[in-house]
Amino acid sequence: MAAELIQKKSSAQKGTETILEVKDFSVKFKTFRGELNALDRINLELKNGEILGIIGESGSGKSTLALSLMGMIPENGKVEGRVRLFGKTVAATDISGEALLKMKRKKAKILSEKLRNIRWKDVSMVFQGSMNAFNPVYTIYKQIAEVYRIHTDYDEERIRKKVTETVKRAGLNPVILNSFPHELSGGMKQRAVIAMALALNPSLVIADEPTTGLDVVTQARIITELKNIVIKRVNSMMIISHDIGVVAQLATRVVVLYSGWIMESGSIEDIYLRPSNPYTKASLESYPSIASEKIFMKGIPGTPPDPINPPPGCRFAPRCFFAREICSREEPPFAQVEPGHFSKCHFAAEVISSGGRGKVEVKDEQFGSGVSADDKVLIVENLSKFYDLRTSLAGRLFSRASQRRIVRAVDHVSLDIRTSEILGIVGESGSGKTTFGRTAIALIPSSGGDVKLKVGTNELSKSVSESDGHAIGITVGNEEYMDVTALRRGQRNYKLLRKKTQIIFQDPYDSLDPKMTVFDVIREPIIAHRTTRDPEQVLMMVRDTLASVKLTPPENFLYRYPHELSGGERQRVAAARALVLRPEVLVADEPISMLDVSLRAGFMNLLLELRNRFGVTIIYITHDIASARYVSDRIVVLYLGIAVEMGSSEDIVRYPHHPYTRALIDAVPNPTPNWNPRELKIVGDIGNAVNVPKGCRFYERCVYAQDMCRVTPPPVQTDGAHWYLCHFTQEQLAGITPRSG
Amino acid sequence: MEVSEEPAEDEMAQARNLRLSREAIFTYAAYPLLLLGALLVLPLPFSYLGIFHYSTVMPDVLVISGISVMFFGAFYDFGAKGYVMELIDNHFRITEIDMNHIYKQQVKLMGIYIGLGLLYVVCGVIIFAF
Repeated sequence: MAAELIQKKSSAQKGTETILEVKDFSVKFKTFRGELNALDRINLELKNGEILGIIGESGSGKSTLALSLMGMIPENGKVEGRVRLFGKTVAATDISGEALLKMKRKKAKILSEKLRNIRWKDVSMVFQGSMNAFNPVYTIYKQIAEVYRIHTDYDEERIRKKVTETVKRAGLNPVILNSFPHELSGGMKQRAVIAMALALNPSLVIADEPTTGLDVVTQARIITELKNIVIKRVNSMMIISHDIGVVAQLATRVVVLYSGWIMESGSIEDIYLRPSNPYTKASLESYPSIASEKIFMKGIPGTPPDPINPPPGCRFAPRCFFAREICSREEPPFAQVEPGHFSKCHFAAEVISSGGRGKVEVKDEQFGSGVSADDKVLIVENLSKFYDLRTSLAGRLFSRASQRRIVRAVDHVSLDIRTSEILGIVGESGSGKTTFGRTAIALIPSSGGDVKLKVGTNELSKSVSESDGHAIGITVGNEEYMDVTALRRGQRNYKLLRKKTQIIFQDPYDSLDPKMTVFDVIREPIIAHRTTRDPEQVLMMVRDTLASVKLTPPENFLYRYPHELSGGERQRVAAARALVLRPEVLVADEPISMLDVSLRAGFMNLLLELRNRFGVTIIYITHDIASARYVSDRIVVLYLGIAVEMGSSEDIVRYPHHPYTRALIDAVPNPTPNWNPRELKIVGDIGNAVNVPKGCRFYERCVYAQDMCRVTPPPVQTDGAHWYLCHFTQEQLAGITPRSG
Repeated sequence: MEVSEEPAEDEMAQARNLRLSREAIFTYAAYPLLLLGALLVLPLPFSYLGIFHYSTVMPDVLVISGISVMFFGAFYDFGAKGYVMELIDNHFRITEIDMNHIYKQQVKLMGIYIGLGLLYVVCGVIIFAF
């Protein structure tokens, strides 16, 4: 409905008035390595009433374009061409960061004054990362009021009234005006940033990654908020995002950027349904969606080009499925394929005729795992991990609270993980996903419960297995298991546990030692576990592992340092380090969240391949339910430390039973134009796991909650292998009138 | 009016909070004190063996160490950043009152460290004088 309203509004308002004109616009940044081409001969127009979406991965030039529109090009920026906003030039060769440095002081002051008058009154910006957009030492009121103080001559009384109105219109309680940024949740901060951008009712609002870093539920709320703004309050908007799902919900026209080039531009239908550029097509096919069938995603091979030395010809050619000889020789023209639909490709007509999303070669057998329900590799029973914030010295010194602050990060979670299974763990941040993953493999000690890891017969060292009065070896059925929670560091079996369980950390930029080569990084576990001391064998193991994670030829990577690798390659090195000892259980903690969209599908496919090839069991931790569905066989949904629902990934996505799972799924944006999302049935934010309700932990946010939910813990409702924690069956839930979300 | 002899539950909790806070301050203060003790005692055997002259070298060492302790106390956050990050990660609400409490505790410790730094200097002066 909202999408139709946006379309209607856009077509009703769309006139001939061009509010933004970008003509042959290039931005180069001077760096120590040379000139970095951030934007290269960009031509763009935005007419009154249009909502323009700009898609591109990191380094494509999205944010540089946004800053150029505000006349905020950094000092090392050299500009060619021009940007005109409402007929006034805001960026050109003589109005750039570099030119401002050389300009006489008086002239620079006049220019700054001119740009200041345009900013916020004519064009405003919702900056990426709401925490950084606000000054942490000023209250929200002071920061929004500053907009009025600088750009209007209102008195203090009128400013207060206007600020209160602005905040109310953004859906916030004016009480937050006296709060500091850190006191607000991510969603509230983002709303406050939007309120600040809309304070002077500008004609154009630029939203730079407005939902990045937010939880999926908060993201959905912000998208709804932006939709309302588009419908009710602003003429034109520019949405910049790497998330094609977010742009699909808001934009009427889309521009796709890649390595400083506009690869394709057209209406939302043109781009999403009839892509005419291989990059757009591959990006759409690399985006996991829960609304469509589960299909194999090819991903995009390789990495974006070096912006300092881009390849000759088409910059996408080295990664392109359609590339031919001409592509690496000649730069493709930016030509019209259909009326209003442009593409920078030699073979645009061929790409468009090859079909849109979903018409790729489907290889469903890639997902097959042959997991046996009886063959359990990890048995988790009532696993708990509580943190007392008062135990640390700083906690005792700085805590003002008189009660103990015990965080119930993981609270009595029980589940079995089968051999060669990929188990997805999903939930918002703060739900205990990472803590569960780390506690399950004893990277952090548990506060209670048992974890049993399957071991081979006679694999456990008996001499130490009974130490400290703990029986390390346990027989369940005919299988031998190791009691992970009874192990102590220093025991011989602890090394066996480390060898059998490995982890891939979230941030590949932090998890690799920058002073170690790829060879050293991967060799380290072999040396630590004394697998072999023969240098030849070590080299062979490292090379084989690099080949297995698709870093080929391995010789090209062995002696490179992490900073010489892309994010995707680093994450593959992290995977290689984890796999070199052939572990049985691999915890992948948000392994794709720091990767570009084009690299995500490749890494997810790698996880599937590793499982199929080596039979490794993977605990896949993510906040992205669409990627969990793509990779996992089963999904468990965590909420404030407890498992609220579990079932096969298709069951969870198609037939979610728990109200929280339903809300999570409804919140996932769908990368198709004119998609009408369902109303989110969830209240507030996740909160903390300290003062949890006695009954159902989801009580405070549940729209179906009844009095009994507050005091009585919910029972398990089971439907075969699919279970959920709730007082009500699906029929009973359907009969309850939900309260407002 | 009846007066309960038993302290109220929240009073007990507050008293416990105060005790924990004091314990933490004493723990932080103990480190430079232990260091001072070590600085005073450990060189004695070497001085006894004639390797260096205690009353000539130690005043300088103590004054330099004292100034270092003062600087450390003035610039170290005593784990406040980590504590605040922990609260944010666990979705706790942090108010201005909490922040003021943190600043107050930091100022207290800074004062203690500066005082202890002065103690180092005084020790140095005493050794120098005698």
